[in-house]
Amino acid sequence: MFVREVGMSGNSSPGSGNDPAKKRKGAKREDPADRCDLDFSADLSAVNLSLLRTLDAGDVLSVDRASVGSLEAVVCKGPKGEVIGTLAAIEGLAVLLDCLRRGVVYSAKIIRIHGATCTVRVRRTDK
Amino acid sequence: VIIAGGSYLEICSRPDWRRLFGSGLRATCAVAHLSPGAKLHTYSFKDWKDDIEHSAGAFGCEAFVTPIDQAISFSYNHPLSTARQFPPTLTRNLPLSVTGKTVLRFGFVEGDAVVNAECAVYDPQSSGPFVPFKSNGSSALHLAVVLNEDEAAATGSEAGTSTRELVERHGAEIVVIKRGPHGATVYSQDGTSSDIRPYLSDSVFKIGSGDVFSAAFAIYWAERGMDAGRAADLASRSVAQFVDGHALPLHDVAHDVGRRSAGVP
Repeated sequence: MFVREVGMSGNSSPGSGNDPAKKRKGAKREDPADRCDLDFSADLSAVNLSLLRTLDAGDVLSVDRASVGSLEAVVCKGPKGEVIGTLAAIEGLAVLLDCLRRGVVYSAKIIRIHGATCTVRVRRTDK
Repeated sequence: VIIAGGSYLEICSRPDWRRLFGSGLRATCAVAHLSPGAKLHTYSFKDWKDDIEHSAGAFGCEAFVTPIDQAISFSYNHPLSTARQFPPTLTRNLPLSVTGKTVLRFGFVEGDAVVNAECAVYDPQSSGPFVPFKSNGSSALHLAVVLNEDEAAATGSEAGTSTRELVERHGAEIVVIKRGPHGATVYSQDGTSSDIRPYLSDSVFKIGSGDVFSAAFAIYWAERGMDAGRAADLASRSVAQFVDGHALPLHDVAHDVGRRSAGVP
């Protein structure tokens, strides 16, 4: 019943033990003094490849909100304000958005660029 | 396109990778450029509901989330390893109801989706007993079923089964059997079958590649009305694009002639 395909031909099996979801590494933190004190790594989605090619590991992107229809997205921008990619499919994305709305400032340092993959470390920078 | 599929936490140890995807959300993000405004119908742990809605929104898509009490995750030691589901025992929730012109339906571990569509693609995502598309009250004028080799074997669809027998068994016009690195085979109601090549990528991050195959096939066959063989070939090309760093959304590969085949299946 609980065997589940996850790749083109792979399968899964029921796990046991501790809940891996509780070991959070996403935008949500355990018992934060301030829920906006976020520090996490993530791959960008919807990466602009031509802009990504102008960047290197170590470069720092700004983190901002962008309207997408009736919702808001979290985007990472380059030095000229151009959108490099989006932060999505991570736990605590809604918290990050809420903190941005309240004026909290974050930066996203590029840890690694590999092909179309851009991994960033997002940290609060207004404290 | 409308997608009915799960949204789960996925955790990989090496490389260190932790994302909220699952078949439903991944497929929705995958087709965001190919089918702007794609809609996702899904369950999700209540604390992830807003995250999933905003994640779909970031891709220009819309998520209709039914909150549940269990945080469902799938953990991998590495991208080629078997996934471990947590919690091991799940509550079955009331089925979702999805109606639309073109619908991609995935199997769920925590519930089900009753689909009514003009054109549907069904990826049951289970190597347990095969559950036919129509058995839960779903209906479609045109139906394709996408299976992996384990699912195909579980339904007696192994090599040697006649094409006509195969499609009749699944009550579908088209049955696609994914064969991992060996590509795929498309079986049609008219008694023909065709082998689909795999395509090369510079690197392979396999988690979710089956979801992406089904998502791309749904767009090219069900939404754009392409021949099933051509649609499966484009889905295979899309997988090669995706596994090279889990790159989403997919680009349109209908005119992609540059990618090299990994060989004749």
